[in-house]
Amino acid sequence: MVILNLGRNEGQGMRLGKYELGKTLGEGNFGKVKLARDTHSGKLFAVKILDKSKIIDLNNTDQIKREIFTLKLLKHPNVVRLYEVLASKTKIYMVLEYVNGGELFDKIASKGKLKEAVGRKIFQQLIDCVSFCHNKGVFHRDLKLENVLVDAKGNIKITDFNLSALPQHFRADGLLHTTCGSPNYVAPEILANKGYDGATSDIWSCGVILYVILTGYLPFDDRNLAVLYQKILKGEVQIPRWLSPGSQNIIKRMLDVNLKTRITMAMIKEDEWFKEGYSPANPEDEEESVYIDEDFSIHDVSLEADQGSPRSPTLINAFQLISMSSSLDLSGLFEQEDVSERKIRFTSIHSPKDLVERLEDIVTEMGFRVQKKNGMLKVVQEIKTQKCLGNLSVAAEVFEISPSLYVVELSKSCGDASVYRQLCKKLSNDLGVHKKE
Amino acid sequence: MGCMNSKSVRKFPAREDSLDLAAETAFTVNEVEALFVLFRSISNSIVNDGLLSKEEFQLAIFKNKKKDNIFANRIFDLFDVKKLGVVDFEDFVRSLNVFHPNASLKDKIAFSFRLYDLHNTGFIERPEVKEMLIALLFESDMKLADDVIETILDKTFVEADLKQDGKIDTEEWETFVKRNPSVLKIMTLPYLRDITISFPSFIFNSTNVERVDETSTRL
Repeated sequence: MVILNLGRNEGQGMRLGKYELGKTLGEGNFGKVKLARDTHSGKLFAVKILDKSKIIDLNNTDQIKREIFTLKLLKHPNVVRLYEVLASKTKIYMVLEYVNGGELFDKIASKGKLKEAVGRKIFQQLIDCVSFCHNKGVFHRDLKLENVLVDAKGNIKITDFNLSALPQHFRADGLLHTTCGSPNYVAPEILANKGYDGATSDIWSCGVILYVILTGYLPFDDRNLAVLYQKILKGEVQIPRWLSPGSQNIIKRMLDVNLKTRITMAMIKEDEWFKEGYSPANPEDEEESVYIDEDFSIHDVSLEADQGSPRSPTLINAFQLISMSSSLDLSGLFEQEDVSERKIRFTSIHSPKDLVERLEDIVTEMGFRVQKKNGMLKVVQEIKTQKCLGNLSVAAEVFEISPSLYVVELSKSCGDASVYRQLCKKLSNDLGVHKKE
Repeated sequence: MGCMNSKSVRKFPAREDSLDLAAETAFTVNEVEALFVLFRSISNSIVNDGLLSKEEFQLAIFKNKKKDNIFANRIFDLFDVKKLGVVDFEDFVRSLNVFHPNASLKDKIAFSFRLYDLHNTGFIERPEVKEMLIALLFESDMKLADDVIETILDKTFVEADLKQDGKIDTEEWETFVKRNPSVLKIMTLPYLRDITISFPSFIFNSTNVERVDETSTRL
């Protein structure tokens, strides 16, 4: 039996609510990161312990709030998950997912460059994750090997979003204007002190990471900071000939000093070298629709009530209908959007089978993508532009009212409200029963 | 517990108040403090008095204070435990507690019964259910023929009104809900699990005290 040493020598058995704190995993500017165990479930977490007075003295309260807000927004298998925030008079505690494989930096520092296939897998996860962040309107701005953790299975987790930028940080010119990031990974446009686009700068940093993963050393390096900056500004990079042509090409296109010609996220995902063995992560897998049923399901009440067979579903009862009221949905307390705008329903005389087929046809015709998974259906609109603040994701549920009458409920889990209304109007007009009928 | 009148509510809750509320509910002290951040923002949206009026409550949920319907009114009435026409922080936390993912099924069943017992008779009666059904259809802009509405009501009462006396009592409601758990879906707010992340400003006001022993308070 393996007994996990939680570092008894450091504050033996120190308790923080339901967590038992153990050994120190790392230290930063504002405090320590400690290993912690949930005494109820036995699960391990990493707790970032921040000194409140230091944060207040250095006027960094907004930065901490931003990191919390960003991590709440980013629920993705390759982003370190924030579970809760605790506080006392003197300290702030961020309970984070514990990643037991350490930093990618240490892995490369000790073992050297990775094999191309392994490096590509890590790079695919990195791009998957960073493009997900960009779609949510979040730009990391400090991507480096030290901020990429690796778990026991060799999957990556991005961490340290305390320098990240959100849409409200853009000036009127649509660009960011603060210098941040680590010197070796920083994009030339940031050093040039011009406004920069967070997405293209993150792509540069990803290019530096890919270079290090495949070669074992930094593309731009010098003890003298001024010389280092000159190298970055000129984009002077020596790409080893022994790298495969595909990897050389993608590195070259990512480390392009010209913002207009630098490769975009969409272009990276279309690159032949990148696409080899690529299977994109599904953020919804990670966060199994906690807030909204994101599935297309024929609501067979008989299964729930345990009577009758699935072929002859019991009709929906009055309370199931009443509970659909948006006025009974208190989630509006926690959201910016009116809850009644997020759920729209209409009656239809089409059979469930017919509804599914016609719904698919209509949404595909409108340029949406239909996802089918485990016999479920979800309507998704993926927007390829860089500044897009997330995709439109709509789920549908069908309830049987009578043998020839159904209620279709459409729920938006994320995305543009006006596009959603347009979609709902089209579906309602084409599939719904109208009052005059 | 010290009375949390409108003046004290404007300030961050005292440690004893947070501790008491945490002891009585599924919330931790920090979650109570995070809820205060939410309460302060919604209760001061129209009148800055630290109390939540019906208009402020509806504005918080629907972003529109004129959304007047039987469901919104009913929810507010149940939150207004002291029947003063306003909700204070204490009542807000205790009422939201029922919606916590960790709250007991018993509490959720009891609250939902009171929610649907529109006229406070101790029973859910057919006219009340019909009234709510019509309100839902109106709100959703859906049209159902009268005979379809009656069929739905018949079917519901056949299943729920086991004593066949034309009304549903608490015992019948419990049996019905256990056979139809989706009816209780609205009684759980997963957001409450993430409350400290949703309203993190509390971290700079927390009066909580660290403990390093087994009897540590729930932060």
